[in-house]
Amino acid sequence: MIYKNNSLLISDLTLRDGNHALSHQISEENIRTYCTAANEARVHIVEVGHGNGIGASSLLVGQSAVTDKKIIEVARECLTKTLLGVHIIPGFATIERDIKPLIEQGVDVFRIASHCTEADITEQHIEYCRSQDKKVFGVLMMSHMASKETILQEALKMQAYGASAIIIMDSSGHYLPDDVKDRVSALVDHLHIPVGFHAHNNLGMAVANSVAAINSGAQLIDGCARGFGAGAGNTQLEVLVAVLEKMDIKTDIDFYKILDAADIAEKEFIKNIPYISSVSVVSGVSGVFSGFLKPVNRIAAEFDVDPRDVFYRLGERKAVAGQEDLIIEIVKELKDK
Amino acid sequence: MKLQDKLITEDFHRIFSENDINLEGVFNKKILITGASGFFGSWLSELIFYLNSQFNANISLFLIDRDREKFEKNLPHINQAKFVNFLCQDVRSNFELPIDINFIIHGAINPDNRQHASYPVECLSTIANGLMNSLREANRLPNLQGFSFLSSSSIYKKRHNEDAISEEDPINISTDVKDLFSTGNCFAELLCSASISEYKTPITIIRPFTFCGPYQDLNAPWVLNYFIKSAIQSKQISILGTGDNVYRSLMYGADAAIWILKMTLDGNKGKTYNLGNNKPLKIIDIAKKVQDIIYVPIITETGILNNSERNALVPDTTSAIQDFDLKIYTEIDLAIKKTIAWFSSYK
Repeated sequence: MIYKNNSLLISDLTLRDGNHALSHQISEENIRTYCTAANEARVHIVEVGHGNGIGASSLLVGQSAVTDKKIIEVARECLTKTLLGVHIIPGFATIERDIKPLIEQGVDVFRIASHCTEADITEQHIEYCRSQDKKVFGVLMMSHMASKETILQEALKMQAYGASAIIIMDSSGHYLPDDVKDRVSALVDHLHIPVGFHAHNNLGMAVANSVAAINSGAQLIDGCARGFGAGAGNTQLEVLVAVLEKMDIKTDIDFYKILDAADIAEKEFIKNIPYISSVSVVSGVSGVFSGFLKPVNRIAAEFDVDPRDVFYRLGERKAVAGQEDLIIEIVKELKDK
Repeated sequence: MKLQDKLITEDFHRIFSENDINLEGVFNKKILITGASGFFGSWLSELIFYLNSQFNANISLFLIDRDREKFEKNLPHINQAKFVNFLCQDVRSNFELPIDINFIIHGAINPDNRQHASYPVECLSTIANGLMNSLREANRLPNLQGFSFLSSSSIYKKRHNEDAISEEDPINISTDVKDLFSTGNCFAELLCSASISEYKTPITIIRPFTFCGPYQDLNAPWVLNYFIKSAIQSKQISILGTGDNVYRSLMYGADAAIWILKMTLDGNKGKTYNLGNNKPLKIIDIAKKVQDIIYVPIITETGILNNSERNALVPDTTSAIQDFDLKIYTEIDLAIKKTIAWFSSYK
């Protein structure tokens, strides 16, 4: 086990990845209530925003109930001990329109994300945030779609651009623990900055995969209250904290209070606790981004096709987030067959 | 005279008045510098300009760079000088030199690791094809007396203590793209050895370490540049870690230019020399030296983002000092002060 004592950084993505599960309709009041609870629990970072990150609210991927500006304003007000983070996908978010105002509003952590083979697009954004003395992490999404060698090359680019840490995402919950170990170890061995892991639970592996990542040297782990995130959900944060306590890994997160925060989230805005539906399993096996679950179910029902067939076709086409328009194309193909 | 030009003239006045430096071997000669708008190219151009204006050295300067605008902007006084011939082109494309060139300093490589990460093919191609073109031209010049190849200290294996690295230390060579700059420069040095063997090209290999002074790019990812940029912008200096386990050494640009020219003139052909300052400095101490001049807070990140790996990049320069009677002319405190003064003047 590579884990170094007292060196885990936990990010709570309930109000960002969880926004996928509510079609980006998390309210101002939800943000206020949950941020207050997470702050009390001394969670290290709370990430907020549209499911696809800052600037993503649109007809294509769904419109947010609350503007980015308001989300940040409310979260900043409530997070006094906890760092405030945002997810940035260059293209959705721009430096001038989004990042500069976010810095003005007091965002602490910028997680600059790209598809796992496209780290080049993050250069300007990472460099800018770093030049403003912000904590900036590089995030490689859909990391199962590339070999560990490719992932390492892309991570090295982000490191060269100035990222302080690299997080790989299992965006479709496709990994088994050995896959996580393989990739995280490769990064830990070759990068000189910390490595992180973000799990989804399509195959019921989110907590186990997070533990595998920690045992392979990962120092940043993502989780959500009740696992509230896209598709089958993420690593269940309060469970992770309990598991870490059992592993004798100290996080400084107040266990009772993180349990309370999860209860509050469930009561206030988690209408449906994520579970591993049959379609989620197919999403995980086919390696398609968990955020496709809702639009696939909706459009498949509308055209009366099997959503599982849609996921397999999306997997064959190697669809990634932002290509939701492929769903209609595939559904029509299936219908015309 | 612009403040920036005055700073550099003062540097050379100070160095030449306090030291006995013999560069007469280059007087009345023709010198080619590739990568003219880079850090070394700019400082070497300034040195030639100084020798011509102060000692009537009558040196002709031939410059190659693909970014003429940058050179014009940074060194307008040299760009307009009669002794300068500027060829605006990429060294990867064939070029033809005047037959009476006497010295070549090939410095057309980019040490910025962001460029290596984003454009690995272009970087390797510049190292290999650029040097190949320079050597091809060099080998047809009947009056060539010296050819210096500016390689890189990146070819050495990573060092986890502050002991100085000598020219004989192990090098880092691999087929992994993350090692492209070190392996690319190993290939380039091998190419130099091949040229010496086949054509008897009078090559000296120079391995630069870390530098400071005017003509650095403040946006480049080197610690001092970042510290100075933060200080000039009145921002805090953030260090990932305590800053006491990472060692760097810093050589001032004027010193580097004199060392390179001396090595090119009098180099023991076929030999390799480290170029840099042999005094290690903890990066926290470098930050404090900047803070002494412009006060801004220094924040050390001791949490998870603490980069705790001990590493050092400090050259053993015994060979250069012994063979050429060179020394550090600009001590580190003055070097940092001058660097800050230069960049502050652009604020």
